[in-house]
Amino acid sequence: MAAGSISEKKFAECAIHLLEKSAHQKDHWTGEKSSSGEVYLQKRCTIPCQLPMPTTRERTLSDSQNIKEPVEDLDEAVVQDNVSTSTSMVTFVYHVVYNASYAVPVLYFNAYKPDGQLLSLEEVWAIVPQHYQDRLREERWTFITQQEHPILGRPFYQLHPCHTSTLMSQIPDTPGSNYLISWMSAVGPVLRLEMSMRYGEII
Amino acid sequence: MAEFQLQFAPLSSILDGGFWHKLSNNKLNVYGLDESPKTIHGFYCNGDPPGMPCRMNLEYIAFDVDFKPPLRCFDCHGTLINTNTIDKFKDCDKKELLAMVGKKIWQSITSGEALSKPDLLSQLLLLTYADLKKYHYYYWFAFPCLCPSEDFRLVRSPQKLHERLTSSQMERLITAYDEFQSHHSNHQGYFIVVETLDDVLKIDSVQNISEYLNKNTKVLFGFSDPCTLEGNPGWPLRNYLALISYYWYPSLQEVEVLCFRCRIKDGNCDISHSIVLTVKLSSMTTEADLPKCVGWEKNERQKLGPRMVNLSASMDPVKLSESAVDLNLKLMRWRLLPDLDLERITRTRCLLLGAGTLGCNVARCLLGWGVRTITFVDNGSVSYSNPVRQSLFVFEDCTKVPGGRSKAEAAAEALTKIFPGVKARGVNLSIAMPGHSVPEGSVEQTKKDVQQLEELIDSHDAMFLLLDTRESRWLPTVIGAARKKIVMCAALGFDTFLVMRHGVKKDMETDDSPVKGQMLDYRCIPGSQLGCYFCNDVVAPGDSTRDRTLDQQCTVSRPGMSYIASAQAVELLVSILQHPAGTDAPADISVGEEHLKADHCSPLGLVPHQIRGFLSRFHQLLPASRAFDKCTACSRTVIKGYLEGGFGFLLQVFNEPTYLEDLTGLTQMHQDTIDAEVWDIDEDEEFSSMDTSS
Repeated sequence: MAAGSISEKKFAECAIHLLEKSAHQKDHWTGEKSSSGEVYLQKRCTIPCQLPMPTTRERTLSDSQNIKEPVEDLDEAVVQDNVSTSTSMVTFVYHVVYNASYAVPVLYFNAYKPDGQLLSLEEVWAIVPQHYQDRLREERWTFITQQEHPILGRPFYQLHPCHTSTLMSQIPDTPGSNYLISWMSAVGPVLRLEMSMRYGEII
Repeated sequence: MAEFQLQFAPLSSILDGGFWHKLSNNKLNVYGLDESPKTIHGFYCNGDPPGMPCRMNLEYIAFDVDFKPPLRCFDCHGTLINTNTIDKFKDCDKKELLAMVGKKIWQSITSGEALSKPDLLSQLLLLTYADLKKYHYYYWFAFPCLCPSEDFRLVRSPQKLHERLTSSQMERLITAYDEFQSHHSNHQGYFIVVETLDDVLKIDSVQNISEYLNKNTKVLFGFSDPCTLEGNPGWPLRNYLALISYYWYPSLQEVEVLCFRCRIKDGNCDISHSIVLTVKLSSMTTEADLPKCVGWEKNERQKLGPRMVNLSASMDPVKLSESAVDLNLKLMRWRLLPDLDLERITRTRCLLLGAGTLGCNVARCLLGWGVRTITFVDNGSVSYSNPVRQSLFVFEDCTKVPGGRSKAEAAAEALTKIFPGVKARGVNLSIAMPGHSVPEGSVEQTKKDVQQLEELIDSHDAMFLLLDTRESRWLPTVIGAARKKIVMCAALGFDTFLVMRHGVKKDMETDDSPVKGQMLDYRCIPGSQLGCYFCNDVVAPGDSTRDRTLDQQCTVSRPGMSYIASAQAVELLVSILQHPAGTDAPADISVGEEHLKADHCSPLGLVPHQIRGFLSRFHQLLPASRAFDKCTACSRTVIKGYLEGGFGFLLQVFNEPTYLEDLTGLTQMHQDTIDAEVWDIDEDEEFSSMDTSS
């Protein structure tokens, strides 16, 4: 294996190890298997996230068309000033898939608004924390592109794998270290994917 | 302390793209026109950080028959009604729909089923209409709740769990909770908490409650609370209180409720922010067959009403291919050329005159650069020899219509098949040529054709001359020069090719010739002073097909040349578009191969005037030449004649073979040349005779 890359077998071992650690600390990584037997890691989380532009809303049905609203009795048992009115949420779905041609793991992700609309690339960039944006300008290890998911066939954003091995060749392979954990803790925070310090514990 | 009304934080629906994908799939492949209720599942969790609204999630897995909520999340039983029409969506009786699910809940309570399976209390209703042509989805959620005759009330202010329990008690509660959940395949959203006198904390199923009531124990009704507010419980408590009231009111007047919230950080559970409520129960008895049922979700404008989401950007294959093409190009910008102005390329509308081997390949290459508007002009049809060289055609184009399909139309259709996001158009049009006289009866048609060509040139930004004769390039060259459009020209010989850009003059009123006295940089010519395809010729274009044999009328060139020349023509256009000076980008005359060392002045490098290729030596030259003041196409005289004389002027050019040469002074120049030659010879003779005589 070239420096910084890993074999598919090693990927699977690291993935199992990561899942054990995730379960141990009640994180949400799951191992998924496609109908054709390919294995990948998945994590989802919904976080409060203010998008830069107000969510562009298409006209809603009742704006232009006459909708029969439900004749619902007044319900006073509802919290009136609810946070839901002011907080927008974004649901992130992360997938880690092995890429045989680059011989590295690839991070796929999608970010959805509450109605299921995918964030545009511009919106994704806008929620990358500022200090990472500065870093991204300097470093070339991450490029976000949209690709068809290799297993699901739906469009997903992808951290382009072309610099992964360069990045990973700079991280020493110490006994007990896990390639996936090292890699994800390096690139994850850019996309709001936090890896707790406890992934660094040796179990 | 006075009692006050118990208010619940409503649930907000959260969907992901996968849910809509699956719904579309099911609509197409499973439901068809079936509008009957379908089973789906949502889930909620109780671990959100402060500030998050109560959320009900629906994902791809919502449709799974053996649905399993994600780890530490709680199942919500859902009923999906997908209507076939927007009218049905609008007009169906919302109250009746809500009551349908309300009845389910009520039956599960009254039958006792909800005691053993309290997750039945958690129900949702989703009304949808999917417009699968536009990828517009109309939807409306309801989280139905059964209301007591009088609202539930709080007896005292909510108490934080860490005020009620010691940290060691909370630790034991977490252990008890984990122990309880480990006995169930899915996490349970409803349970009871039992506190004994000897300080034992236990969590058990609701159905076992009789073991603890009226003993020396304290029983709290516990539920997993998605709410993060300090003073209010979340929605799932409502039906739980309905169940509790139904079974234990009025024997129990007040109950304690644990709103169990469990946040995990670095593997540690934190439940200290959970709250304990003391609730005054109320009667659930009703004279109707169903207690009052509420729960329609408000939309983004805080009105009871449906929502609509447009997912064409992530689901419409056409939109997807468009964004994929854009992203691919953006990748080039991000990685290699940060200054690349892709927008400038994308919005350049290109007119391709000629849909033959050059036209097909130029169009394909333009697609690659993200150009979105491409129009073909050709008057030919696809013949049997074409598809192997002309990369947009297939055999069927020759046979589908007797004599073959129109090339322009077939090429435009092929382009759209390759990339539906392109605005491709084919125009079947003849281009009038100088020296090809227009018969009396065809004047009107020719006039119309010229007018159409003018309109086409006006409505595009760049024009490619990819026609197979020299003289057919004359009219578009003149119109292009007069309208100051970018004109790219490609021509093929057998193993040589020419690709060039026409100079775009700044102002037709100024003289073509360089300003006298101005120092000229011989190595570099500004774009506005560059010549056109006809500038190097001292004869006007005439009928070049007249004396040709059959094989000369077809393009006889090495097959690879078209690909080379087409690619160079497109790349040259893109280089012009990316140069800060645009069409005025200077061209290096490349004497002594200086262009190989010159500094790049635009992101893509040099912008040559001409590329002349010699395939026999696999060699290319990049000459540049100035506009010729007697040019039969772009000289001031001709442009002025065209602008002032219009079609009348053009007709004269078409009909009179010598008109252009007379007009531009070429006739005079030819005459002068002959005179000078004669004079030279005379002089020589005279000189030699003198010489011999001496």
